[in-house]
Amino acid sequence: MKQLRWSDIQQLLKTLQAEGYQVLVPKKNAWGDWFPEEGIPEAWPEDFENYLFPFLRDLVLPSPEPVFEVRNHELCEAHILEFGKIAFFGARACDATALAYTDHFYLERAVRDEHYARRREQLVVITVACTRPCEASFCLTMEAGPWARRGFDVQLYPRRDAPWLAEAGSPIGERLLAPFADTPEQARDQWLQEVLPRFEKLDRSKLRYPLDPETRQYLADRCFACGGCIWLCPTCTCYNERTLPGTQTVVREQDACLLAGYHRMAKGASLRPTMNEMMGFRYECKLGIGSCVGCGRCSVTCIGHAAMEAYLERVR
Amino acid sequence: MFYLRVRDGRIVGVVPSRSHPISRGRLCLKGWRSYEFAQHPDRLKYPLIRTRQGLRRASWPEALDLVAEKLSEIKARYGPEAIAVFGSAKCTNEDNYVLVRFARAVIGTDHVDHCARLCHASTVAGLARAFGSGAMTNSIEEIEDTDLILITGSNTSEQHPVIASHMMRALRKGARLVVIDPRKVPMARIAHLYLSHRPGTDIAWINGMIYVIVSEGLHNRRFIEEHTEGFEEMWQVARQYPPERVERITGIPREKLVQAARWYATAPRAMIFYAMGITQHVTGTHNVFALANLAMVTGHIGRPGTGVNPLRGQNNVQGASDLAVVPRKLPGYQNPQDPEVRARFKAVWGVEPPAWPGLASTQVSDAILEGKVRAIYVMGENPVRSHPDVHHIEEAFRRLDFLVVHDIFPTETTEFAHVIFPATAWPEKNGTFTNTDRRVQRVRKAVDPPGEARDDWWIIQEVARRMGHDFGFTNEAEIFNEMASLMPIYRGISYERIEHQGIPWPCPSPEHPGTPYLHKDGHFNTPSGRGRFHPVEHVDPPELPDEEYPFYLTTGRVGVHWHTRTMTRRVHYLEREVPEAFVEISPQDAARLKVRTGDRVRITSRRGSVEARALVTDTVPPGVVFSTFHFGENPINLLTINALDPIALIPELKVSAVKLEKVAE
Repeated sequence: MKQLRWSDIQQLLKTLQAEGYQVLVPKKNAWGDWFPEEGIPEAWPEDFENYLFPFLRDLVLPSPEPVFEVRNHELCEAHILEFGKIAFFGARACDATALAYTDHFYLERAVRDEHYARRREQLVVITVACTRPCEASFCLTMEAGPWARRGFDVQLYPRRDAPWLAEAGSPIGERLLAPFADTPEQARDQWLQEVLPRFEKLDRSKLRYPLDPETRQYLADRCFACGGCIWLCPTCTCYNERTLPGTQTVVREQDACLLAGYHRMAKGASLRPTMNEMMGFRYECKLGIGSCVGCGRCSVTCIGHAAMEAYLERVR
Repeated sequence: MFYLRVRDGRIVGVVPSRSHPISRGRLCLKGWRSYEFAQHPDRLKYPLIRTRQGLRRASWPEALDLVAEKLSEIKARYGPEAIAVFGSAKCTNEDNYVLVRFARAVIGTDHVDHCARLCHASTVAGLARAFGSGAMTNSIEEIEDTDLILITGSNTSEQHPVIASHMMRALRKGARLVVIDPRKVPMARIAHLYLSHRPGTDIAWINGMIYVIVSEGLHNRRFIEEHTEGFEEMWQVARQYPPERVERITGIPREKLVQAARWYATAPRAMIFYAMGITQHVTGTHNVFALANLAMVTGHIGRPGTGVNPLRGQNNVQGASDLAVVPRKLPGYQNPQDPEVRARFKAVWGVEPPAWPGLASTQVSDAILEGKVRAIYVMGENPVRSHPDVHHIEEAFRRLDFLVVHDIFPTETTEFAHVIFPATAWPEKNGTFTNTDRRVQRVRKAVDPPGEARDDWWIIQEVARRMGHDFGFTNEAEIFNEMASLMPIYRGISYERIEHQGIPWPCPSPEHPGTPYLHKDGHFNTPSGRGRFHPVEHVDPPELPDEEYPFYLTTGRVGVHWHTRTMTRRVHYLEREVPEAFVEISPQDAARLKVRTGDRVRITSRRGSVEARALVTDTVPPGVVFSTFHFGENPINLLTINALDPIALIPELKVSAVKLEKVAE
């Protein structure tokens, strides 16, 4: 465990800049919405909770992404869409955990996704552990917050009136933290002792798939099929491939399993013709496979009352 | 509100705004995906002129010259009343203002209208007479804190999903939900009380609720006495609607009606929401009167979390109405007969607006066939598919001497056009839109338009200049300032003030904060300052099912499509959701007709016949079928009846009689 003053953190970011990284940090715009912007912050923005949009996911899984294109009258693999070297500062634990999940999905299974890999290699993730829960989140229950267990290069633990704690999660992180002062591991236990009581921890064994039929119908009746929970989910990876109209480029773009069209086959037959079945499918992925990181975005954006918050209300 | 994400000049997605008081980070599927159509290769990119051989590409000066010349010629020969102008609720306030000035000052016609004629003309007429203002009385933000939500004739979760999201929050805080609709729409499935009535019997159930409320002494006597007029006359009619009679007319079980009435009357705060299920009837204006009566009887108006709230469909239908893209009005709902108003407009426009009463768009077809209207200038509408009785309107448009259309895509209407101008889509526009809750807010350009497409206001200004009127606008802010100076309800609004947050009108001065809810403390905008009760009687729709045509056909929309689908068919995920025309049939009727979901069915009325796929669902009750007007290939408006509400001139799109047959494939 290391400890860093704010000026040390700035120094660390400058080191990354010198190495050619574009440093992205949370910035509030004139309307009050948060976007990652290039720069080195004067101070940590205390009112930052998290981005509504999962920008970290978007840096490794941009949508739409060209996968095939026609060059010289031949169908070829498209050039990999790249954003260059990026240091993502201020990532939240939930999103880092989600990144670890997508890493597993795209890099560690039978087929390695070279598009994902190329972008992932160029990404440095610096998480800032959360000191208070954000709206509708339940990250502690999902073991994805308020601090990250995986998915980061450097993790910072903010402290009031004291240098922040820092730990490395990768060889890059270790290299970046090497110049800074050590501090005993117990400092983090103390941090956790102070922060964790602010977070709810539900009995995870209760969050189980399959959902009971009544809950499934309750959620289905309250889903208005906007797809928002999916467009904003840091671990939703379903995609669709199609040729963009008017081009010869085949893209993969994110798809949403709460849309009827997602499940429809040839001649209009559907694998899951009712919202009840679609809802079961989604919850199987989030809870059955266990991809949910408890970030709460689905609940914030839900126009009905069908996202995790609604489910948890019933579990509680 | 949302942000567009742009990569290399192309929009790749949206990020909802969490800070916006209405959006709060929530969007419907259209909001998430509809940017896609703006980048579709079918976009119109160059001006087109029709020749004997078909359409050919033209330069801007050539096309503009031709339009100015033709319109001048028709005006000189037949007078300004031979030209009609249709505006668009998809365009900005600035586009519509320039159009209105062009129509009334350059052409000199009052035949100005837009598709609000087909949606909320009856609201504007009805609420203006009852309350003095034809708009949502309350703001969307207030919904969360109300105690009872009454939805009628609105499929809110599909058509106004973000508003539905505020309702969902209210329900979580303990509000009650009552849904009254012939169709068991999604909100009905989660309602505390759902009442299904026969299409076209709204006045009966509303009068019935008033009957229950007044006869049980649940009415707000003090409010009625101090803030309204005409209660006695109204009551003489409503007292003839006891629940037993209402049950006979509407099919609503009497206990349910009584329950709904009691809940509505005794809730501390109650909001009424309605849409086309109320307005698109020959009795549309009377339906609106009836809802206004209901709110005034209980005093559920003029306070936060109350009111009568028409949900307007288009991004800027409120703005287009405010800007007087309707006949017989001037911007800001001002009276063109008023000499003082006329003088004010003359001072800015250089000429007086016409004082004669123009035609509604639904009357224009007949006027063309009678030879009275010879040319139409359409900005961003597709009347050939959106109006009732398609055969009739196509015949009329074929007879036009000259038709100009601005659009972003070829449509059924551009097929009749002599000149087509390529216009900008919303991601390419600067300006303002006025939200359904009267909130005037900014839209900013994110990407360049394709080809030579230009802003609608620029196109109109160029035609006007060629007709001898130089408006001299160089940007949207100048247009806004001029229109705001002429409209007392917008006067206090400027681009600077709404840079970060919209302001709901009325906003009469730069210091005024705007008006989230109207008629505060029962002070109405009517001449007497009192709310006006209107006695209204139930009358049968012009066409009822009979032996030959045994089903009620009621029409509407689905959540993923927009009107005639010119935009949404070009958005992959939207089109994939509902790729073809369908007709909802109840399980009971389907069993009798031996029809299953997916079978092709022919729907026939006295006016025409279309085919669609059957969708067997308990959303519709037995005897009622539902379809949408989205599919140009299967135009449901071939079937609908061109019968108009005598006050608002809105067509009866919600009730016609049809028969069904299974089609062998």
